[in-house]
Amino acid sequence: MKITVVTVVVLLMGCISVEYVDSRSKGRGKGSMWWGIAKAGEPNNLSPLSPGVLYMDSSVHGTLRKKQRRLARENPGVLVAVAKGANQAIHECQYQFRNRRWNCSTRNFLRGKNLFGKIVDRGCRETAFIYAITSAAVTHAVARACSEGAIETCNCDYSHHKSRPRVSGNSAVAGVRDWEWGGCSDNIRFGFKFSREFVDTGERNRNLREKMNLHNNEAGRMHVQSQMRQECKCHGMSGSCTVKTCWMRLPPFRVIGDTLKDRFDGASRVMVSNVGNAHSNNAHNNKYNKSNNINSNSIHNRREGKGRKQKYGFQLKPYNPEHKPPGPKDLVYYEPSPGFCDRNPKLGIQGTHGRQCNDTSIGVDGCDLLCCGRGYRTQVVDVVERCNCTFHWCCEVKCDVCRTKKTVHTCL
Amino acid sequence: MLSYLLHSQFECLGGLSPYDVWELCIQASCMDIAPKIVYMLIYNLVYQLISAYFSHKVFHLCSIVGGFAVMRLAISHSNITHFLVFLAVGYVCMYCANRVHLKKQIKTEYIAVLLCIVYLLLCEFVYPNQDDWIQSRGLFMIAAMKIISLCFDLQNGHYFPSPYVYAGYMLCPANVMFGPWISFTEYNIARVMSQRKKFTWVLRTIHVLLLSFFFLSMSNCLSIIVIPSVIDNKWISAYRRAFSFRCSHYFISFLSEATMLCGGYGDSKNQYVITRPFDIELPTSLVSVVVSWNIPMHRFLKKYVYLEILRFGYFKAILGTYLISSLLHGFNLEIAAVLVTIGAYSFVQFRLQEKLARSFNACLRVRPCRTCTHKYKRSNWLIKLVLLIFACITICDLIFLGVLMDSVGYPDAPSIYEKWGDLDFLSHWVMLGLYIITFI
Repeated sequence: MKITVVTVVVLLMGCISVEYVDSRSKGRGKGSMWWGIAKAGEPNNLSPLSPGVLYMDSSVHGTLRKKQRRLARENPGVLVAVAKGANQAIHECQYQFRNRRWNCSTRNFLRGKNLFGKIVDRGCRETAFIYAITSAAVTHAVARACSEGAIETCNCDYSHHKSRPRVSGNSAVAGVRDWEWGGCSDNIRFGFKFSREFVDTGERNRNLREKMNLHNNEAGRMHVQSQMRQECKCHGMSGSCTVKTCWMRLPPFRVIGDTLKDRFDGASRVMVSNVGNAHSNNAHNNKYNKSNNINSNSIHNRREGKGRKQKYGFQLKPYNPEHKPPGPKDLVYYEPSPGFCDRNPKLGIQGTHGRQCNDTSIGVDGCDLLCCGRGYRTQVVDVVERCNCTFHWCCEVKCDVCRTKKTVHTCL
Repeated sequence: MLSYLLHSQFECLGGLSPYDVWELCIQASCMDIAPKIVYMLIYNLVYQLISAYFSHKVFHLCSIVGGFAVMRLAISHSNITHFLVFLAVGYVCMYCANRVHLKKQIKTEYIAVLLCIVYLLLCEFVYPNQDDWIQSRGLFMIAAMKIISLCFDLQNGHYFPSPYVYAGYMLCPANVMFGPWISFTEYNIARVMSQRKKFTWVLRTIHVLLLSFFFLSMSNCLSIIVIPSVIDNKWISAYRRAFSFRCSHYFISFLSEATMLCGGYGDSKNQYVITRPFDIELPTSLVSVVVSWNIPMHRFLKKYVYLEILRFGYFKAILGTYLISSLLHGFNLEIAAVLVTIGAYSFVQFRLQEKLARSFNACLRVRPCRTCTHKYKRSNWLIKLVLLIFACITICDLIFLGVLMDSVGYPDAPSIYEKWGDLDFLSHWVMLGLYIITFI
């Protein structure tokens, strides 16, 4: 028994060190550097009126790859949206994991280091979530910026959408096609394609890690895509449908965060597949590839050469052969998560020392689990907070200042 | 602070911030339709200018061209062709009927009514592409009303219009798409009415346009603003759906008023009132709802249907009017159910209030009496209370009616029975109760 434990540990350590070395070169995929854009400038500076300002910022410049810089140059205003999306992703990640041992903490960003810390060097669940949520956030933010008209290259021409030819196979993603033309349903498509171009740069489907990243990025986008709908209503004399008006129903990002968190809990572990890329039986990817070949008028297809059309056409094999292969919306990982209880500088893990916990909860946020059985300290602190807030029309909120005693539990 | 409020997410908005609602729904739906409206208004302004300054001939030509331009904005090619065929058939029949009338001196105008109704019924039940039909039904209704009114007017001594003038009347850009119905004389008046106060005209047009956008956003975005999960009550959600339908109607009505004003029509106060939302939202009785719903249509029904049938008796006239009205709507099952229900309800209400007025000597008639000779006037608070109760019953009835209309044109909507069953047929029981009271 002891021997097996030891071997497992040894194997794990080996795995970690290999990965660690690997990450220096190409291991984790190179697509994650752009996250730094979240810290590159305060939102105030990123006014949509002057998209050039952000682009010129040297700290931004350093975080982007060549292709990403080109995309930003070609789509003025998009960088602001990406930065907004990156911040949104961090925010949402920290919200979703506020009660977990791993709380999605970000480090002070330094060039060349990763925003989320070294945890990203490992192919574990947490990494899968980070990739999915960042890619989803970019899709979401870019689609929204489109409908706001902040990105020049995707403004929708309201007057011509009726006469625009509808190509039946022109949907990279299932669901978009079912929309009736009305308002700007192009936005999500643009967001989707842009996110593929921008976020997936550098991931080239060469090793398992890159496949994992690609899959999770795609899964994040799929979630945004499927949550977004267009609703229409008819207007006319006595219930006839002379004109139809449509509007977008973009879900709040919180909804996407919630669904991704669900997927995180049910993420599938995968391993290298020998089946190969081309003969995938994944319905979604197959469909995508087909439509790729049919039309070549979208940004994505134009820029992707023939040699790379298989980028998304792979099927990952479940680690446990009895499990179902992961679907396009599932998150995948291939390494077990490290323990997040204790500080581990090698993996950039802060540990749960000093975290606040809930002594009555029996869930993950409860003191027993969060503090990993180390016990916790209970303090009574004076809290000064605003209270008895009343809303005065219009538009002022007046509050009193209250002092209350609060019991705070912190992990040892 | 204000911007914080605007951007914070509210549970009652389905987790959206007011800004999100504005941007994703209100702005999107208004922007979606704004170009069409702008073009429509421009075409009508051009029409008005030309008709004011050029000769008779140019005026009709301009009307035809303008009508085509307006139709092209929203109606598909095949539907426009279909519509033109209908107009041609209508003209030929009208011509034949008129010839027969002149030769044999018999009344033939009912042929036109019959023809229009049969055509609309055929389209409603036999037309292969129902989506197309639902798109163009409004056009056909307006045209059918115009043809019917024209036939009656013809036999009362108007000159017979040439196909050219006829086409101008039918395709008048101010009302070809969203109505309202106007009579042939009214159509010709546009040329005469160039003397008007421009300032009040501009003001009223802008006012009406703003109202129409307001009701459009109410109609579209209400389902976001009041999410059913927050207020989980079937009555509130049914009221919301009915209200959304009514708002859609107000939107169309105010929009058509705007096009009418731009096209140069309107009364001496530079208005062309089509609907009165206040009278419908806070009704005193169903009759006032029916009258205020679509005033030009009401005028049409009164003049060409009700007064024509009145010689057969009062009750028959009311019934006949509702029947013709629902036939004009193509006898769509939902609309027919709504109209029959309105007919029955307003009959019950009329009888009851008449009885109450007589037995208590109070001003409780459905329409306020012109010179009230009753003992208790409308200013009496008890009378006000009774009227308030009737208003509440009417609002409840409107929920029932609006719920049906909400999904006209959606093929997979639940049936009438299911929708009313959801609301326990409450309004029907109330009406039955009231009807029984009238016999006491």
